[in-house]
Amino acid sequence: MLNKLSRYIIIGLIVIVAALYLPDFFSMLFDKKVNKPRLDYSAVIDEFVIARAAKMKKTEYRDINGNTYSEREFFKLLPFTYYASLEKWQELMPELKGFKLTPRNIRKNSQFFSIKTKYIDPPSVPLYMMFEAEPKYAQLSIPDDVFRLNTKIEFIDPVSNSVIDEKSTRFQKAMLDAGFIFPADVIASNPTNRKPFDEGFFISDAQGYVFQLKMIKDEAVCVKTDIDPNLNIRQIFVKENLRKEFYGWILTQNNEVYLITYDKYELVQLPSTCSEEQYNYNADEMSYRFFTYPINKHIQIHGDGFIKMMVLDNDFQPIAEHLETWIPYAERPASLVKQFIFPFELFTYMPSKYVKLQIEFFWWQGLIGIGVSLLALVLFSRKRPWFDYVIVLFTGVFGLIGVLLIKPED
Amino acid sequence: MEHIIECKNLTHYYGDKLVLNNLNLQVEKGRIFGILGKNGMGKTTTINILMGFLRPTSGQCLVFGEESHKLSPLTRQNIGLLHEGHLAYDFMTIKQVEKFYSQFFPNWKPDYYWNLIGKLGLADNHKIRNMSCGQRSQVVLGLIFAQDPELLILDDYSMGLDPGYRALFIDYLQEHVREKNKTVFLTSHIIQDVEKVVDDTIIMGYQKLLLKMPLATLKKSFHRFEFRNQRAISAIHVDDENVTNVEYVNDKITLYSFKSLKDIKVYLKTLGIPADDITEIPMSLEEAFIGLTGKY
Amino acid sequence: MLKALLYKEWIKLRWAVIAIAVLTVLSLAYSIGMINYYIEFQGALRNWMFVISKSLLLRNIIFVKVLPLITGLAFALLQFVPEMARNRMRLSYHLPISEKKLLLSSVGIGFMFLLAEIVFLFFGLWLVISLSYPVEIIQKILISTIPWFLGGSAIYFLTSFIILESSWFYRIVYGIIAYGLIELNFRASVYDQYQLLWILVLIVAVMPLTVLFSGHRFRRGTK
Repeated sequence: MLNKLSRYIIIGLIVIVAALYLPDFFSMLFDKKVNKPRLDYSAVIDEFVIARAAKMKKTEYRDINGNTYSEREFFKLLPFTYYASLEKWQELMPELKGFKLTPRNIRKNSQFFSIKTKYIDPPSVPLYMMFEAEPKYAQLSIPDDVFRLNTKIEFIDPVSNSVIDEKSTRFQKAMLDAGFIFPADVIASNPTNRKPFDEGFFISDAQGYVFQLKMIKDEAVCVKTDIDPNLNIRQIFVKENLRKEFYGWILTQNNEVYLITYDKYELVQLPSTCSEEQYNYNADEMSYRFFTYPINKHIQIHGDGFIKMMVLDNDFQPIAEHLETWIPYAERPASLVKQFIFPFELFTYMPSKYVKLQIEFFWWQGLIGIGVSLLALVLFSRKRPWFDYVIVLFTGVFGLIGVLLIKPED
Repeated sequence: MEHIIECKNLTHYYGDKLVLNNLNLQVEKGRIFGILGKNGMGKTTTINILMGFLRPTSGQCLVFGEESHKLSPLTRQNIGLLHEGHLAYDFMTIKQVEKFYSQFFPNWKPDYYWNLIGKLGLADNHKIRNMSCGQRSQVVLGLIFAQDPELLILDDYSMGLDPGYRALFIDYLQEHVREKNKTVFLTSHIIQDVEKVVDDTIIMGYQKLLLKMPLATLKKSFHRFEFRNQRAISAIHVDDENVTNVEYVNDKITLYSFKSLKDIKVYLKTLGIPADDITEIPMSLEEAFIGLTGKY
Repeated sequence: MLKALLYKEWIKLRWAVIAIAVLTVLSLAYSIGMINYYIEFQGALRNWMFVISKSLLLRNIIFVKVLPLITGLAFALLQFVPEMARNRMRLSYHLPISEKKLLLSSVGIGFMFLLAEIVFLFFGLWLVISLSYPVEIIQKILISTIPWFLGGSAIYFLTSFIILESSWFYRIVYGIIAYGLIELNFRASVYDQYQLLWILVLIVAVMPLTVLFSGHRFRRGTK
């Protein structure tokens, strides 16, 4: 009995390894890379334009009305994107819709961010660094301590690896005075000193209220914002920018995206849904990109097989939208064939930064592979323990490999 | 009579190759049973089955009434095995190996072991790995004696031993098992040693049992005859009744048979082969063995 | 009887057990030196930031990744190569103890020694990093080492299983499988990256049973 169990454990291990490597190997051999198009919106012709890698490494440039362009013409349609090259070629037009086009002016009035799945609650050590927001020197300097923040705030001195009581008490008091209710929930900052200034931390408390915590002249400054505590915040991102249009942005559990604007922390919701539901932003699978340019704002939602792009004016009112699609991975020939051969696959890849052993079933297609595997076993290898058939019935070609390699003894 | 070992219709194939064909044998309690045969005749296969390391294709091999490939631990306690090449845990020392084995056998008799080892004159912490084959054979034998099993199965015990150790081994074995009425099953390719100890023998031939009798009987009843006759070459054939084996060298014909000289003369006459000069040439046991199994 | 088996495995493993323990102590001592050097060189805070944001420590404690692998491999080789050389396993299979009990005990004993080394390493590491780092970092580091320990256990069980098998064809098949199963435990590059770690634990937990099939095939004489 145990010997039989032992054999099936070995077969089980073979199934695991086969399901982990073979489908991957199959894709690697047969799947052709699909080049994602670059989608953009030309403020010059007020139309969406596309750059797509064509054959022989050449790129094809066109707009969505079918007009094609040379590379240089295409660049000229997108001065906010290609101003540096245009400047070099001396082809940057002096003015567009009343906005003076100089590289410096464009840079000063542009900002970009993206929300990728791997940015959301990544594996991290819950220790934080508070910068002095009004530093003595021109640049922000790295502080001398780090802090932990959950049921209370505690600064730790790395040299002695011990809590700095006095500073901790001061910050604790400032937070309590501002109405902060511990423990802290979402904690966000931009932990680098390579930024023009520091906006400290945005922290949501036990009741969902969002606070801003900064250190000014070594003193804690804690401000309770008016951000709706029922927003169901998933992640806050902070990014200091000299434009001072927004402190950062919020992603909610419902895949909504908000900008936290200066100075009153008012929220501006960015569009993340559209008429076709399958292209609605889903933070677990797609990435969200926001571009603010001198005369409009772009939003792109990138998913497997599509880019959904929306253009807003400077008051966040929609101007235009466009959907560009291509064949998603699951519908490509290699992937389709794969689903017929293998009943399921195991993988550890996550769009987030974690490693997790997961299984994906290829339902009805998989059944065909299972049927063929069973038939092969019946035709070519008779006289087997009944459980061998059960194994193949559930694991298809993986189990077939297992039971054929590891012959029954008895 | 109680059968300690009983093999019934033992048949074994390696793939398509038949190596054992319907072997039947019994070993009675208190007997020393030898199995002889040239290499490749299934000697090793038989002993592997008997030791429980090979499951026969068909047939049965019972040891103490249990199938040899699934002996219970308790039965195994009562069987001492000497593996080909005097296998031992050679990473252990003389002392460690005794300590190890002693814990498995309730009837462990350390004196048997230490008496035998004492004669080697080696230190207790001498590693088995650093011993000569002969010394190792004494350790292995000592362990089997100390285990004090009812049945000893010895696979090619003489392999790699020089004559001195071979004699020593046989002496100890003989003394030990006779005195205590143990049963022994052994294989060997050195027939003189076997001659001294075994009660019953089987000689294995290609896919069949050649002979099953005590060696003394074989020595008495198996004969070699020689005569010269150019014409008779290839007229005499091996049959199981009269001619067991025949060899030709030029015009010299050598016949092996269980028949007497008189019977053979009659037999040759019926074949019409004149053999007036036929004489019996006495044989040693080894010559008899070779005569029986063939030189090739 | 278990005592006797323990005695036998101990005779085979003792030098390795001691050598690995010494190696562990040396590695830990070296890592204290390394950490202190980095703290000195980078400054305490900067070093903490590298440790936090760049997973610096994971790269500096490679020995925690490697030692369980070496230990698992060495123990399996030392325990079972002498047994399988010249079919010596026959001696063990003839002992008056059931073959399953024998195999599981032998593997269990070896694993016990491996586990002892792992526990020693784990607590040693804990001690070393708690000298210089706060609880948050300690916690993340220690969690990150669990898959490595699983990898060490997997290599032990699977190597034993491969050695105890007597056919080379099977050994090669098993070797490929073993590679895949061990690799599965080494896919993280930053702290605490594994989710559903218990599935990996479960996979390793069934591995000891694989040796039974090898033993069974040996007893049957299947080549």
